Amino acid sequence: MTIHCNDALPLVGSYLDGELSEAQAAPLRKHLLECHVCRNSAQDGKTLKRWFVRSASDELAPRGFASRVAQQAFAGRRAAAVEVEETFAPVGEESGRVFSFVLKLTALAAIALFALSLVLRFQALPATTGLRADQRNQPTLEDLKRGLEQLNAKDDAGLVRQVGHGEERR
Amino acid sequence: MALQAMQTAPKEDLSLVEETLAGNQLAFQLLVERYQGRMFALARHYTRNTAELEDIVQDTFLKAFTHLSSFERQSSLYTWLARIAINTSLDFLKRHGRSPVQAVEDLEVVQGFERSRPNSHSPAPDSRLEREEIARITQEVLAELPEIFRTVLVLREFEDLPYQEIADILGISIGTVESRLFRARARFRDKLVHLHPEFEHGL
Ligand SMILES: [Zn+2]
Repeated sequence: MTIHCNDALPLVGSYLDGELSEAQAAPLRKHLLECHVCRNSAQDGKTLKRWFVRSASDELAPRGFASRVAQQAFAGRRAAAVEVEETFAPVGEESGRVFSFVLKLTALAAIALFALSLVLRFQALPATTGLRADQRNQPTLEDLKRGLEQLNAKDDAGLVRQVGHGEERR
Repeated sequence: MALQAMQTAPKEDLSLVEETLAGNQLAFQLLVERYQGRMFALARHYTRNTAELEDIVQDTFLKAFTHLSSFERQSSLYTWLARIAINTSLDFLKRHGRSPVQAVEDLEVVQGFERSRPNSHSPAPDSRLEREEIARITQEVLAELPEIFRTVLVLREFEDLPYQEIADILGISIGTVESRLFRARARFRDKLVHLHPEFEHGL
């Protein structure tokens, strides 16, 4: 059986990836011997593959990573798994978007309230005392900063803003 | 190395899963040790920041732990973990306002197949380049690609996965894997020439 360029070219990638059955590959191989255009395309595909080399450090994990993760997993941090639906849906699937939006909105509101409570408390306290003692159990300042950045970025979080203004005026 | 893991893993994976579910912390640690390298390699395609990277991979394994009982024993543990890792990475980028460029499936697929650019030449890596230098350039180019193209190239070219497994991870058909790879390679080639015209005509 002979095939022509129009049928052959789209198969070249799969051929190089080893994804063709022998029944598909045999006529393509024959065509490649006869046709320099398709042969060039195959050569080109092979050349492109030469770019995909791994860096030696790609698979490096930090020392003690596995034991830390296992410890944390067993320390009853199961609740840490957030947004289950999104995680387990195939990548790019639309389901769970609305639910996750509501979740995020709720999370934003919580962050805002927490931030405000901290701000209010700092204002009430004389300068730097009280911060250090709390750090262990409180989210870090980095978390707080990230949360605030998220807030700034979200123009549509009008709900949060309203709460914010109300509290400020008190 | 990746292949080896795929071929020998299943039986041991299953017993590690069973033991983890039975409450054996060490079993879970061994399971993490077995796959942490590949998960770090995967997540590195979405962030190069060390702290973020560790967060993502840690999240990946914690989510896996929480849902271990729902792991379908017929599918490979790697496929399952890879899916969680990719979702976690993309979710992380979104949350931090660094949504990778999205591309939609469009007419380009069909046209791409028809035109096929038989005359376009892939630049060849200069033989004088160090392996690490090639890897760096490739990362640079990949980072510029829309996420759907980057992901499919990573799974195929670095993870060495068969189309079926890529289809499973991404929740798409094999035909879509095929056409997406085709486009991804064309984009990669274009971007490479654009960023590094010095390689355009080979050596
Ligand atoms: Zn031909």
